[in-house]
Amino acid sequence: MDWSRRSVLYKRHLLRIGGGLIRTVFLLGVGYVTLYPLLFMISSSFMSVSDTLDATVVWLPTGMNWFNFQKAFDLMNYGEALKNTLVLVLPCVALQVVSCVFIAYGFARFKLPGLPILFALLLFNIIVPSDCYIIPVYVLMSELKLINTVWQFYIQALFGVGIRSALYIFIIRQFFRTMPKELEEAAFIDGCNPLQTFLRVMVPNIKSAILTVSVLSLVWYYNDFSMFGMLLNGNYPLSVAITSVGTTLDSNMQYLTGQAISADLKILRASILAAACLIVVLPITAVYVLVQKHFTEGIERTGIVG
Amino acid sequence: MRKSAFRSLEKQRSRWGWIFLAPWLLGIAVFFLWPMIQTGIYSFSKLVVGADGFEANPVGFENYLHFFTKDSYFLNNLVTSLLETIPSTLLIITFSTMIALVLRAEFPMRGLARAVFFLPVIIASGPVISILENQVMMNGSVGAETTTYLFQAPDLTLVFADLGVPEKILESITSIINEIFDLMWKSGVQILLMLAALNTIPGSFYEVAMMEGATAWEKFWKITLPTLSPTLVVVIIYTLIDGFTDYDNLIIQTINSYYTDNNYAYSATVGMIYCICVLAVVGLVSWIMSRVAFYSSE
Repeated sequence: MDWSRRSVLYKRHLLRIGGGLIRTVFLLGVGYVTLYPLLFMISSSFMSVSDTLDATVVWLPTGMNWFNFQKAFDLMNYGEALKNTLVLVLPCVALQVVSCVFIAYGFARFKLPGLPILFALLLFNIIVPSDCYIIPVYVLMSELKLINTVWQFYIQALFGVGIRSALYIFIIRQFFRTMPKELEEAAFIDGCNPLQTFLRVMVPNIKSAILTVSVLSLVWYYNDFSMFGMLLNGNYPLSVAITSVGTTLDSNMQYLTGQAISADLKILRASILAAACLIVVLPITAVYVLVQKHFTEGIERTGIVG
Repeated sequence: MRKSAFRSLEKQRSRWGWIFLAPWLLGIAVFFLWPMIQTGIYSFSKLVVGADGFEANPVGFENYLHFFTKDSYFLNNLVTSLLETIPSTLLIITFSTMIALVLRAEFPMRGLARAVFFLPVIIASGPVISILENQVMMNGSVGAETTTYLFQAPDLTLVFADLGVPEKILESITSIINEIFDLMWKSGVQILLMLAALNTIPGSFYEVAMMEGATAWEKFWKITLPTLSPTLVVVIIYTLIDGFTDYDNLIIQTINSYYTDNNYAYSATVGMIYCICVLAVVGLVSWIMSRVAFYSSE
């Protein structure tokens, strides 16, 4: 082996090590930035007031302190709110995913007069923020006597206009379009009608896309608070319940002390809020940890892109 | 004979198409188009709460006139929110591209790294992050701190101050660092989209480039970026829409605040104007981008 070739190999080796090093530093840095608020939340939810004031206590509290969690539980009425969340979110996700897959097939595989206009309408629905037309929806729901019930959300999910339904229809449509036409032709020759083709051939082939969309749908329904807060009056899910914890705490503290809130109480307030945040994100994070492997693999294979 | 059989087949097929679209057609008409039309009507009227719901009395362009001539607060906010979205979109795009490129490579603990980077997707769309940002991290640790940034870099600032860096420059640097934190939390979905796109680039492209002796730098600009460009269009538009509909967005907050003030008609007006602005910006950007983007099939 001559010298020049050797030095090339040597250089490549160095580059690889250097690249790995840069990547590690970069990932650690960005990972720290990403996890920082979560770590902060976990650590401060366990801290007592004296821990927070103690300069020697930075991340790890001196002892397990469950007081903040107790308070957060009571203030949000956690059990009730969690039940409301499940009752609202799970049927909505199921209905939304089924309807979006069904509708997306219509958009992907049929040549219909006026379809481009309908597709433009779909894109329009993705773009327009729902805050812009929520009041007429409120009026409509009141007239239909559906306001304050869970049915209004089920119905919207079923008819392809739930939270971000248009986006999911778009995503699944893109995915259907990448499937070879020959599959459907073969099914047709074997005597399937389009519905049977859809159920037996198309749907089983896009399982990973369906999983991805289901996770996204679950996340967005779980986290939504503007629509649930607007159309419900009581029986709030977790996402709405947590938004009022801060103000409830303020008024309770003012009532107790009868004066402006002291620095100690401010610290206590922050810790209780951190605990509340932690117990709100815990269920959805648990679900995510369970499905994350399939989820990230799925979204990569979908090629959501155009 | 054969032709007519074929035509009836087509007919049958299009009937099936309508069956698939039927639920959506009903839903979009009742829960989107009708409310949009209502919003349009509201924006031209004055709403009075009557015995059975709202009564809309038409007032012509009064609300719009009020908006453009008297409501300078709102007009300013509209301009700021439109202008602020552009640099943050650029930063988010750069970020998500970089992170996606790093996450694509094979390395130990890749699964864990990915799981961490997608965590923001799970949490950032909810109220929790804004509560953490505005109510927990501010008051919790350092009593005197009043900035609303999530991530403070006080130690870093001190180090640079000791080195004699002018205060003005320091301030702008730290504000960028703090911004980066927020942006990082907003780019979860974008990273996913970019990763998905990166995986669709055929490996043979890179093999050819290697045979020709291209450097990594050239590979990025000549292969990765052009093939990614259609996805970039999608990602940019998604980011824009996300920024415009974000709960922290000043305009969305103002629209919602008019609900609580019971000034629905004006809220509808603001909503309509905002919709038109967003559509115009998104339309313009997608038009420009579709000129620049490279589609291999053409």
